[in-house]
Amino acid sequence: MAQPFVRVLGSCDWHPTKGNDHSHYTLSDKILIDAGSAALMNLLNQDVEPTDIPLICFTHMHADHYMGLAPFLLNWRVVKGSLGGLTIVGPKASVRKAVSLALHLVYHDSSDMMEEIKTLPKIVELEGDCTFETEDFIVHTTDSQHSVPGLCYTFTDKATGHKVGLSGDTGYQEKYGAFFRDCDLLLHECSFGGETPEKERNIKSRHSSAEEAVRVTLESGAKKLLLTHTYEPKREAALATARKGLSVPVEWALPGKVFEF
Amino acid sequence: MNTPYLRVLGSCSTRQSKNNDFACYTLSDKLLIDANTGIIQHLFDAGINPASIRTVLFTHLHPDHAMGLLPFIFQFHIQTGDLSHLTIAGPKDSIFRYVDLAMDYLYGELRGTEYEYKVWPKIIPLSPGDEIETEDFRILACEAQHAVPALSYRITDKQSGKVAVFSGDTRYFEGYSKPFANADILVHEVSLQLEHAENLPGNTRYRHSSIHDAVKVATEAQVKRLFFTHNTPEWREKCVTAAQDMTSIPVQWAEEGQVFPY
Repeated sequence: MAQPFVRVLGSCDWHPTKGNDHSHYTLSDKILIDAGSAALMNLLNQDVEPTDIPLICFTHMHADHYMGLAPFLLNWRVVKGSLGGLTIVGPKASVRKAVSLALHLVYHDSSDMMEEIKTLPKIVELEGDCTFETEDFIVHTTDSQHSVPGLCYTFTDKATGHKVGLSGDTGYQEKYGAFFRDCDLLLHECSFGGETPEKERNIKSRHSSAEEAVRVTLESGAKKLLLTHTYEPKREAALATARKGLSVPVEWALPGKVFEF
Repeated sequence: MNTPYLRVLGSCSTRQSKNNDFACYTLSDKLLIDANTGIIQHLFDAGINPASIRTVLFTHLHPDHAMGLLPFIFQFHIQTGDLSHLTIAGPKDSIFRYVDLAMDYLYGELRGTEYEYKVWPKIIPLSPGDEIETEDFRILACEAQHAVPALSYRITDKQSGKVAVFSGDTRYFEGYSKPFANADILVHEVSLQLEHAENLPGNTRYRHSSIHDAVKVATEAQVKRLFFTHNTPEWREKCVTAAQDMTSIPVQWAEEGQVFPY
């Protein structure tokens, strides 16, 4: 039985560094979670064929999480001859608009976009607590708490029953203990690193610190924490804080690495 | 006096492959010519601070040449906080609309909020014959003929007087090579590989060049070195070998990651 895995394509916040792009991942190379700016090159450079990934799940539509959508669409159309067969999931408030912006950017000089793409990708707009299935996973979502509408996800691998949770960009919410209950792996953002944010600042930007990632891990009983979405200079302090607060393993979502769960 | 150089950040056409992004270059790491999707990582890999490049020149706005404008603007803004220091130049018929689309893509979510983005990069619309100057270069926009509005560029390094020419995507036409006379390097697309353009009826529509066109341009303009670009890896050796048999001008592939002083 094949173990499901998270492949890290990038784990920076909005500020990429050498060898590390904005945060985005694949699930078992079957689902793309968010699309950092160089998503397509990141996939190719890790020997993953982008057109083998028929589903993109967006946590939210901030530019650092979806800049890679336009190149992904262009490549899909070039290889497959149409945009059929591709499904894009994201927050109800913003995903359709974002896909439209990406298509307009790619086909801005085309006299007939539909002639080129033949069919639009399937867009799934989610809000609140939702459940859907793919061939390999049972997927649950709930609303995150960010400066724009966003989603948290859990994916349960049908073959193994193993579960991964993804926070997306979010501040702490009480419901996360239940939502991420017993995840085998939790990918949690820690934009604030090892610092505890001033309350005022976090009310505006709605991100998490390592302490808050620890709190969600403890409250959910997650078996392993993978920290992500942190500017590199903040990484060591974030890891140290999280390891101090937890007895379960804590790792950094190192780009190029595959984490089985 | 510093020797100017061509840095190749990618030389692929329509479809990217491993370590091989769309066609994109810098001149002496001061001027960006087109922008590919992995641009920020390519610059980091070369040890270049993205925000140190303050001018982006587009040959045309087809997505393979222009989509990297998204991460480039985003990164420039993160690092400098002020897009008014960034200059974007390209074909007059499409450059304004493209930058608008990119800004909408990046910052549309912020519209109507306190973070709404109000400072645009400086946009310079260019037509053939227009000349602009940066601190380091004199840039002459030249006519190109592609499926969409497009330009070629003759770029003179002010300090050394050396000249680099970029074809962008274009077909060959009468008079095309005239502005490129005596250039030190010519970076020419070879999308049509070894074909003869006149045997491809579709080329009246998509308008690209083959090695025959590129060699013809290089010969007419008497350039000193010819670089091929804009094709998939399997064509590279074939194109260079065939072209080298046709001319005494040295021919090379513009290999991604390479630096070529000129």
